[in-house]
Formats: sequence, structure tokens, C-alpha cells
Amino acid sequence: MDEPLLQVRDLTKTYTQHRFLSRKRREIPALRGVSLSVRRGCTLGLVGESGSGKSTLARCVARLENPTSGEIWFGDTDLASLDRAQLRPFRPRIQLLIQDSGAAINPYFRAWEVVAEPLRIQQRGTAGQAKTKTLEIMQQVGLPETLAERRPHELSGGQRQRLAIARALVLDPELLVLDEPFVGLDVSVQAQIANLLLALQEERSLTYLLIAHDLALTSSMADEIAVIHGGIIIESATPSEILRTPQQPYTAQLVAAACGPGAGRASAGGAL
Amino acid sequence: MLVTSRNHNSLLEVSELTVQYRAERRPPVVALRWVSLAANVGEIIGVLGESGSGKSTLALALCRLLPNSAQILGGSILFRDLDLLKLSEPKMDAVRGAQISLLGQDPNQALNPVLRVGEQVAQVVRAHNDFTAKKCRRQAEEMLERVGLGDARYYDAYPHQLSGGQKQRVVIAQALVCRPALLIADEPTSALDSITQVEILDLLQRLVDELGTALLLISHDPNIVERIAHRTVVMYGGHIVESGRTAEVFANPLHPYTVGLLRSRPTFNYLGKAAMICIPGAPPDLSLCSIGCSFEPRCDERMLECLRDEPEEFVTLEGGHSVRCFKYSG
Amino acid sequence: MGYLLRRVLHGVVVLVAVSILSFLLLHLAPGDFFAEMRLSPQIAPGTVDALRAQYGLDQSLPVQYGLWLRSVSKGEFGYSFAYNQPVSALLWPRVRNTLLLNTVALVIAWLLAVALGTWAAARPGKWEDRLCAVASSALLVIPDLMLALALLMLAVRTRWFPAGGMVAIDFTDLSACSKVKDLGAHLFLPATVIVLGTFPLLYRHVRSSVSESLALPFVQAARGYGIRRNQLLFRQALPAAANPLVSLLGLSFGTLLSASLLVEVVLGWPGLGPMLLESILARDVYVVIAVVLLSAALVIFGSLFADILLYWSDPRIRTDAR
Repeated sequence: MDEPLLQVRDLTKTYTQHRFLSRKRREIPALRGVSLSVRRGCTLGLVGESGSGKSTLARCVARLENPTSGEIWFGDTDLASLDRAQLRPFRPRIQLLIQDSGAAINPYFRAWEVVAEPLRIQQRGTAGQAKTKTLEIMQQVGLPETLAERRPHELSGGQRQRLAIARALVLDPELLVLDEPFVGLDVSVQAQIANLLLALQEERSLTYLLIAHDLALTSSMADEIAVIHGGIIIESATPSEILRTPQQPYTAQLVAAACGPGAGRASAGGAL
Repeated sequence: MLVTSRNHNSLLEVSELTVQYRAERRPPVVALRWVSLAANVGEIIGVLGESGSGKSTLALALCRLLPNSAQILGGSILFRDLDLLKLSEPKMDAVRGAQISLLGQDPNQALNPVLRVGEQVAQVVRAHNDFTAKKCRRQAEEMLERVGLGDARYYDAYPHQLSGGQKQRVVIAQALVCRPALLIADEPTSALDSITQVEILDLLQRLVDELGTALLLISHDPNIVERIAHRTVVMYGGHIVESGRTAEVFANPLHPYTVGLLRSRPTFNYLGKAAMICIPGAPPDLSLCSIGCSFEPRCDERMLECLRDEPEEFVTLEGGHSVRCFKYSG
Repeated sequence: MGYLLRRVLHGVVVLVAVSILSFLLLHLAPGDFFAEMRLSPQIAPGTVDALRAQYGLDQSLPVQYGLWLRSVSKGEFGYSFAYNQPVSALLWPRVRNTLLLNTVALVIAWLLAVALGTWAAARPGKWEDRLCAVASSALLVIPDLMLALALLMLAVRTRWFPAGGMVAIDFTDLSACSKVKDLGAHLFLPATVIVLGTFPLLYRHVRSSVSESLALPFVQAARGYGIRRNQLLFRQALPAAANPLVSLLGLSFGTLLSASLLVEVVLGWPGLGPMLLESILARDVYVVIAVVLLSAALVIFGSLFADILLYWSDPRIRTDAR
């Protein structure tokens, strides 16, 4: 199982900004030739700052946006060259978890309806089957049945994030693109969610493209880390290499920032 | 009680503050339970707590900005010999911004999108002083320079033209422009990315040092508190469970919650993917009246007494390091 | 600039479409201006036919339309059969009167709505807020016609206000100051009816917009800096609430000719209303088409005006988001 599931080659995405009432047009390059690959069952951590293009990359890989140029190979198909109709069979196989779980969930739905919605849209199974599968998945992500009838605003941040994960898993995807899944969560809840994601990856042989700005957290979750800055990947290596010997000055800055004053915290396996 | 003895340096003294939120069709939530806290002039106190610990309620209570559904059941807040809970609203308006300032959570939402940022800083000046428009502007510009936005173009910029870090700097400028004696920062960096977080923290540290402001830094991230706070206070379930000098608390955490929290911080992992240590379970539901310690369900050092009673007294060990836990009493 | 030009061109296309549509619809209705004449036994059928030929009414529709277009290019906008004048000369004084009435009324309605709406939004649930809510609901429910008739009765019974018309008989002899007073006295009743009719909806929009704006985080943050209530309302909340209100203002602008139609007829204000009614009943087609076009032009211009105002007042729109 060593062939890459996802391969991005030279991806570019440029936004044009029009100014109202004037002929001026500004080109904003969000991605300037990004290349990366993720092996099946593994996690690639993409670390960068806001404005580095990581969210744009996430949206392009999930094909929510059309890249300006480049290739996105999923297995043996180039997703970048497909149009909407051709992409449809691929949608269930690639799921995107977007940054703000609160905003990503319809507040008018009940918790189980949120998870059941993709099944309904993809017309998989009857309503009864859908509900059974929904409750099953919710159980797996740590949401007890008692929460199924609650509305999203009645759940805590961690519970909402679990709900979003459940929704992403209900179609049995192969690739999960996680856009900053830990932002806004308490430190102990971050650890719980991280462990949940690792466990799910084991059970279901999921492949993750994890996008984050916290290098320390990513180092516990990723097989490989790529650092993105200004729309291009400036460095890519195993977590251990990046943390010990960062090659680029920007990477060194990231390492220093993640370090914090407790420099002695670096330890093996996370145990204190 | 955590109060340091009354000296001329004492700025803030909170005693046994208890706050409850009324909820419709549900029992009320007691968000703060007999919280006592003290701050001296120029001191940086880190309040470490997660969602549901009551830290945001504490911040709002100190500024008397609690929503209508909140009730103060007891306690007092003494700020420089003023009992804040007894002040009239107009007098409190005069205190807010000029003597006690609150720095909000999300810089993306803390600024008015249709006004220029310089103008928003100047409005704070105008609210507390009788200056001319020009003088207000000059004071605002001076403050913007201090926070690193000295370029003249920043004064006339709109919030959506600035990055998250820059917006947070503007908010800091607004909070400090009238030189308050106490700044309360509620999660000032949680919406920012890692490099910017460090920049903003260092900026805060430098400014409070320059201006002699005391800082109450509230955060759920231990790293933030560890970086700049002189003293640390740990909150859980509406109570203060531990307090002491930052170096002491982090090197030698006493309360099981503090131990678990510090351990669940992400650390550099050189050996490949591994599960992280975390505290099992979730924070307590504060609308329920629980018997026994609120941390007991998640504690791996629980004893028989923990089920029966809530630890009331603080046990103070050497160096002013206090903890509220049956493990250390008796 | 390209944007503006495109909008203007778009507007012109809409106007042409409106004119064609009105033309068609009016001619689809049976009969024409001379239909009544035909019924009168004293006039020979030949005369009627000759009259019709004179005004081009026996030509085919496209030809008639073409003739009308030619008249438009000359600035006449067609010919009124009833008044025997080019339509533009006929309409202009009427348009002026209607614009005067509506402008005064809408300005007052807006000022009242913004003032009361902001004030009520700052005091949610209190008696001032409830009182305004009840009053605005009541006004919404009462038909304009009833209001107009009620005020008319008031004028006639109490003689405090003139019961109709726009100016006194000896208007031209009055001094400038008295002229204004006289105009004001005549304006008062119809303007009041229009204000009472349009105020409730505006008030509700302002109140809900400001109320929403007050709940936003930056207003809370501003309170945290000690900014006092009035400054908070007018320097922070209201500008942020302006967005939907500006669009509404543009729509209001578009009603500058139509808001007073009913009131003018009932209270005898010499504006477009009575003339339009008359012309419709008499099938004086070109007058009707001209009025319809004028209203349409105002609506189009109003929405363009709103967009420009929005661009000017909301900095976020100036730099397009991605």
C-alpha cells in the first residue's frame, strides 16, 4: 500500500480582484506551483500561516474551487481536469473538514440530521438505514445517543468537532482533508480529538491531509510535514527532521514559535 | 483566601465572587464559585482555564459587563479602594477603558467594519477625555505607533484591509490608549497563528512593562501563560484550584487537573505518530449541583473524601504555591 | 466607469421594454379615446374616423410606436388627446408638484424612522419600544385611503387646514413668506397621510437593523472601553447598521412619484395622481405611457443610486472580497 493516493503537481491558483467602478484588476496568487504527495493510510501535515495558501490548497484538493493550473492526481485520475458532472462519483471519496465547525454545521438541524445529510444527498439507502448508520458513526466518534437530538448550539466545541468528523466519515471516504481542525478547541480537547483522528485512521485506513499552524500538534499526527509559505512548499521532511534540523529560516521560525519557553518539553512519544 | 496582604501596591482584590447565569427551562448555571484573586500594580497574572471554567465570566464580572441573565450572588471586587460592584453605571463607564480595560477574544469581530481603525482608537480617547479632535487623533496615532502600526496609512485603514495580527494590535491600542491600570486580556491570541501569537504576546509584555499596567491574562493554552505571566491561577468548574508563581506551578503542578492539563500539551514528537495524553471525559455541567469535588469524575487520584465533599480550604505550600485538593490537606 | 455605463445602458433597455409592454397592454384594452364619441349620436361616424386618422390611431401598432418614438426624440413624449397638448408640457408642472409633496413626505418619514427606530432599538422590551411597535402595527393595518379621508374630514370640520388644492387662489399676490406658509398649509395633510403610510415599514427596518448591530461583538467591545450609550448608538451601531437601510433608501427614492398617487386623488393635490387616473379612464394612452416610463426611470435610477450610496458608505464593498 505504498503508492500515493493523492499527488498534487505544480498546482497554481490565482484570484483576480476587481475594483468597483474602475478598470483596475489585481491578481492575487494564492498558490504558486505546489507539489506534494500523500501515501495511502498516511498523514501529510501541511503547516503554514494564514495567507500562506493552505486553505486554498485544501479547497482545491477537495475540488470546491477550480485551480488555475496544475494536476491533482487521486489514484489514477486527474481531478483538476474533470468538470462538475465527472467529479460527482469522486465526491464521497474525498471529504473536507473545514475550519470553523460552528459555522460549518446547519444550526437548524438536529445532531443526527447533520450527520445523515450526506447520505440523503447521495441517496444512499433508506431513511431507516441512514439513521442506523448515523447513530453507529456517532458512537464511533464518541458522541453518545443521548446527544443525537440536540441542536448544534447546545453542544460544546469539542462535541461539534466530533459531529463534523462524523459527518465527514458517513460516506466512507478514502481521503480526509482537515483544515485546521484544532483551532478554537481547548488544549485537553485538542488532545482528545487528535487521538480520535489517529484511532479512526487505524480502523478505516484513512488518508489525511492535515492543515494546521501548530507544528507541535502536527508532529504527533503526521508521517510527513510540508511547510507552505507564500503559496509554495518551502520544505518537506519527516517531523523529526523538521524539528531537529529545519533547513529554511521560516521553518526555523515556526519551530521556535511552537517551542515556547518550555524548551525542555520536547520528549519522546509525548509522555512527560 | 488567596489575597496577598494589603499593601500600597495592591491594585485588585476579588473576594469570594460568585456569579450565576439564569437559563430558560433549565436550572441556573453557577459559573463562578467563591473566586478570590489579587493583583498588584504592574503584575502579570495568568488565569489558566478551559471552556466552562468560568474564566470569561470572571473577565466580564471584573468589568461589570455581564449579560442580563447573570446574577452576582456574592463577593466583592475592590479596585483601588473602589467597590466595583457598588458603583453606579455612569461611574463604571468612566472606569472602563480608563482604569480597567478588557481585551476581547476575536480580533476579527472586535472592530467595527465600517469605521477606520484610527478613528476607533480615537473614539476611546474621546470617551474619557475632553480633548479636541486633533488631540484625540494625536494620542491615537501615538498609541498605534507603540503597537507597531506607526505607518500613517494604518490610521485610515479599514479592518478588513488588515491581517489578524494587525487587527489584534489595533484592539490592544484601543485597550491601552487611556493608560488603564489593569488590562484584562481574554484569550488574546487564540484566533491567531503561531508566529503571530508569539509576536502579540511579546508586544503585550513590552507594553505593560512600559506603561506599568497590570495584566490579567486569561487563556486555555498553558504555553501562553507560561511565556509571560509572573503568577498563575488555575481554574476548573468555576473554582480556583491552584495558584502560585508561574515557574513553580509549571515545574511542580500540584492539582491533578493541572498535572493532566500540562501533560496534554502537544509536545515535539520525534518518534512518529503517537496518541497524546489527555484528560478523559469533559468539563462538568455547572447547572447541576454536584456533591463532592467537581474534578473527581476525571481524576485518577481520587480518594474517598472526593466523592463526599468539595475541598473548601486552600493549602499553601512553600513559596506561596496554593492548591485546593484533598490530596494535600490533612 | 465601465460599470456605470453598463448600468445606464441596462436601464435604457429596461425602459424601452417597459414602453413596448405598456404600449401593447394599453392597446389590447378594447376601445380608444374616441370610443365614447362614437356612442354619441350627435357626431357622425365619419368625424370620429377622421379624428382617429388625424391622431394616427388607425395605423398598425408598430407604426404607432414608431411615431411615438419620433415624438420622444423631439422631447414631446406623444400627444394628449384630452388636453390637446404635447404630453411633456402637460406633465411637467404635475411632476413638479408630486415630487415636492413626496420629497417632503419621504424626508420626514425617514428622519422619524431613523430617530425613533434607533431610540427604540436601544431600549428593547421597554415601554417606549412596545409603544412604537404597537403604533407602527396599527398604522400598517389602516389603509391609506381611510387615513386620507379621516384627515380630509378633519380639515373640513375644523377648518384648520385647507381641504384641497396646492395653493390659495391669490397665491401670486402673496409675499414670499406668506407663499411658503400657504404652501405649507396645503402640503400638511397630504404629506401627513404619506408619512403615516410609509413610516411604519421604515421604522421596523431601522429598528431591526440597529438592534442586530447592537448585538455585534464590536459594540460590546466598545462598551468595554467605556464608550457611552449615545456615542455607541450613533457613532458605532448606526453606521454598521446602514447597509440594508441604504438599499431601502434607494427603493424609497424609486417611489418618489408613486407614493402619493392615491392621496393626491383624494385630497385634491394637483400632482400626477389625478391626471393619471383621468387619463387611464379616458384612455389617453400617451399620457399613461409617459407616466409609467417616468416611474420606471425613477425606480431604475433609485436602485443605481442605492448601489452608489452603498459603495460610498460601506468600505467592505469597495474592495471586493474574493
